[in-house]
Amino acid sequence: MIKEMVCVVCPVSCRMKVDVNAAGDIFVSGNKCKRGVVYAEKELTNPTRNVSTTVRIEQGVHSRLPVKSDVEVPKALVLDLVKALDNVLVTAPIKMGSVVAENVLDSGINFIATRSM
Amino acid sequence: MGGILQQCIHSGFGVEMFKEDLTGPEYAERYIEKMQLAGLEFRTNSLVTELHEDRTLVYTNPIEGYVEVQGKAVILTMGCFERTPGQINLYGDRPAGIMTAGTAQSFLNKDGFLVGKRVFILGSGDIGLIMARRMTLEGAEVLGVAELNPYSSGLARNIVQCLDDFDIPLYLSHTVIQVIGSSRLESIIIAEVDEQKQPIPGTEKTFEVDTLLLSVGLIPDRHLTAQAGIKLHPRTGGPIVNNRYETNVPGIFAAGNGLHVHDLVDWVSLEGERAGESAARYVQGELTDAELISTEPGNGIIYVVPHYVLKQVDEDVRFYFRVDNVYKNVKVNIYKDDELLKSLKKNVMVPAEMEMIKVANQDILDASRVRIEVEVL
Amino acid sequence: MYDVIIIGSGVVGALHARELSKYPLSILVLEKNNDVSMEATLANSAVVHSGHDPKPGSLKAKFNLLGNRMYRQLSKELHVPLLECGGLVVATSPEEEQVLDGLFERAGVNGLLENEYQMLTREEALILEPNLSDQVSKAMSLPTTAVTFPWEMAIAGLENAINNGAQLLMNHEVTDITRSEHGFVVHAGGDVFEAKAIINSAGAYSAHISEMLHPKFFTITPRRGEYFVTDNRFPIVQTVVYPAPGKKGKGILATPMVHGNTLLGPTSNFVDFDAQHQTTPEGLNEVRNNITKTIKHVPFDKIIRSFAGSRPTADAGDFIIEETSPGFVNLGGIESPGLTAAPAIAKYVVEELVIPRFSVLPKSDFDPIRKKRVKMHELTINERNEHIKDNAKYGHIVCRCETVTEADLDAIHRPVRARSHGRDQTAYRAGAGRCQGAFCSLEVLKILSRELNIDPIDVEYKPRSFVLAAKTKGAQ
Repeated sequence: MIKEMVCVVCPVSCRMKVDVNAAGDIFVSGNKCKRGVVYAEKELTNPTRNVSTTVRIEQGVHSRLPVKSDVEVPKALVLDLVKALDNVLVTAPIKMGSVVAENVLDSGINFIATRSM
Repeated sequence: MGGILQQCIHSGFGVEMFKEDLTGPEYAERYIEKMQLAGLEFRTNSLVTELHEDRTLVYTNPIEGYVEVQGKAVILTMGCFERTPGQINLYGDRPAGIMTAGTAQSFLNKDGFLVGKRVFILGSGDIGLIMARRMTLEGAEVLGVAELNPYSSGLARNIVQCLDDFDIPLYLSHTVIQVIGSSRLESIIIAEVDEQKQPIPGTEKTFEVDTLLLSVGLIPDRHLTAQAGIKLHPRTGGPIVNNRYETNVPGIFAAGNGLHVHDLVDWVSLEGERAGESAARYVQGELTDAELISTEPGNGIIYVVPHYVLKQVDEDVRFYFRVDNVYKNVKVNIYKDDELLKSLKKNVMVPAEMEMIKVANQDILDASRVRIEVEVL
Repeated sequence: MYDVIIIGSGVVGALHARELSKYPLSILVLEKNNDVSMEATLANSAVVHSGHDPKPGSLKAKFNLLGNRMYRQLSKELHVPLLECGGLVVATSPEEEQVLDGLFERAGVNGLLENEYQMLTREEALILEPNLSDQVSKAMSLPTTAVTFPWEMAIAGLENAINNGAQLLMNHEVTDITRSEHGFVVHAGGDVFEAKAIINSAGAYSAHISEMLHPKFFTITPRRGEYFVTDNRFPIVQTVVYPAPGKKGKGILATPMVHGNTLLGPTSNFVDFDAQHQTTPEGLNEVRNNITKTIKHVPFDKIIRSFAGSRPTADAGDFIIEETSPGFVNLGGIESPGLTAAPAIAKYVVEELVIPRFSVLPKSDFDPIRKKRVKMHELTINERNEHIKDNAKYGHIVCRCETVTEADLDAIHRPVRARSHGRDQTAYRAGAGRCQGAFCSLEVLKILSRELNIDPIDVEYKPRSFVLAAKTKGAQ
């Protein structure tokens, strides 16, 4: 199966063709540098994303606190993780970098505050 | 403090300045901490209502009221604002549910207010793409993004991570031709456009949506410039500056999105640093006047910042510019008067991505103008 | 039982309420929307016309001239801005010069005084308006032409009426009217009211209201007008510039607004009720193409908004001002120059048609003055700071484009309560500037929520629509 993919590693945005044979070997073409291959392999085997969202906060200047995952998250888990944060409620003051939700959905992924409030 | 960064909760900030992938609020907080460590005085909740040529300004806040101060130097870093539904040709009624993507972003990320549940986005600017993902993550359904140009105005990584990841279609060469609904938006009609950007009959598609977000460009905020006699550039929309980021009014400097709209916050910071340093030198009387070398956008270039370079020994000059179309396999040539000074090969250049080329200051001191242009190979 | 019920709170209804409040009568204004003046009064050219243009002998001609002569005093009493900028009707061809000559004659027939209309050469006209196009060959000067702020005029009229005893109910759409022994029974918004007299000032819906009691005798068709608004930091004209009139009324004007913006428009097209507030490519192109005939240096890149207003045009072409049956006054087809004519119509209707039924004398304690609101931009820094000492909200600017302070948003608590986000954006100008509310709408929402003591989710934008759809994280 040949899959078309845009490499997002740098602004050149190479339009790549990625082929996987029966043995699971990955062949990449259209990339202008080897970082495209690494990106394509990861996208095919275990695509991950940074996740940024918010949680409810009380007594802050706003009623939401921005947070992010402490590591890149498997793409398939993104929506579930964000939904799981619905139950989180924190109270100001809170420092940037503090963990606001630990081991969410037993994924081992923590969410940390991305600002002080 | 921190401006628009506080609502840009996504990552992608600081790769150049901190060699880290930070979110907007994190990036802002690093600088806020630096400011506090340096013991700088600041005012929040304060709006500057007047700025004059002699660098006096008036600001107001609920605690002090109106206060007039004179700066030995003033740096304008007011950022930019979004083109509004009123500035583009949006036909139909004026119902609730039509706003800029950045407005929806402030509602959503600061206070958790979702402005709609079925959303369409006009314009593929980065804020619009980012909001497509954010609204989806928070439970809204984003039905598509229409872009007037045949290419995206946002970064490729945002197309992939904000649209493709969630199967949100991007309609290139399309625009919204009508909004329907008198109290609340009920639906929109989009159509494909021809090369003259005119809608092609028969290509209409209707989407039932309660919200239309606009991401159709940013304009430097210049609400203080006219009164102070600061000259603006017609293409950037911001002040005209020299390589010290000084405007035509001595002692008034400008940097960041209030000067010209950037894609990367790191470059905004770099400009700010340069303007700040110049302002400090100005206050200490270290800046001297000199003849001006003008910088000119040639073929394929929309604008070049700074607009002038002073004929005197100084740091190397970073020229920022944008191309007017998508170019592949080209050279960027820098001419000193009519002599080719520097030539760089580029695989791809797109209007969505600002370019920067550094030129040694001493290389151009004997020029009267510098021209940058795209040469298609 | 009320003495008089007024249906509709546009500028016509508002000024009738005020005129009636000079007498010891019980007055009720019924408005179907969640806010006042949301229809024709909301979106029009804002011009106080001189009276040069209506067909001689028509009610339009009569009340236009009378109304124009009342505006200065009315604006002073109600503290509504009035830009006394004058107007110019310009000709750009020999044919148009002929039209202008005809119009000059008409102005005289309509009763304008000699110093109220004057024919000018191009050179003379350029002194009054330097930005006329190069084609302008001749112009008629109309120095009594002025510009008001229609919404504030209506709101101020109502506030003044309320302070003098009148009542206002919003969200009360009249659904039925029947006769009773003492007058009328009015069904509105689920409530039932009785009144001895009714004034039907329902604008575009006046025929519909009239037909609740009478056989159909007039039809209202919305006549849409499309406009552009330009950034108020770049004024284009200093006088109202009219083209020579054609078949479609007064044509496309350039009008300086009281807040510094310039209004370009309107077009003139009969449309269905559904389409009366819709802008179209054809309409806005017509504005673009025609405006450059009369003025030059039109900064199309400084446009901050486009919109469509609607004129409630009656089939007969003239105003309908009549007591159709005893105690029931129909005001139909009060379209341009209705804004100008409104105070004169109100005076006539109240004094000649309504008061004779009640045989009452004016109240001695009627207060014609609506208290002036603090306008920070008119004050010196020291004066401003005096206000801020009393009320810190004057120091907090919510809308940076139009420098609207939090204290300016006290309209929420004034007699004609501003409850909707859209209202604040238009009448109180938070969000009326070049960013169109992008920076302040979150804050305006929070202020409305706090001051009205309602959840942000329940803050309305326009009648029957809300700013927000939901809160995230399943929050209530």
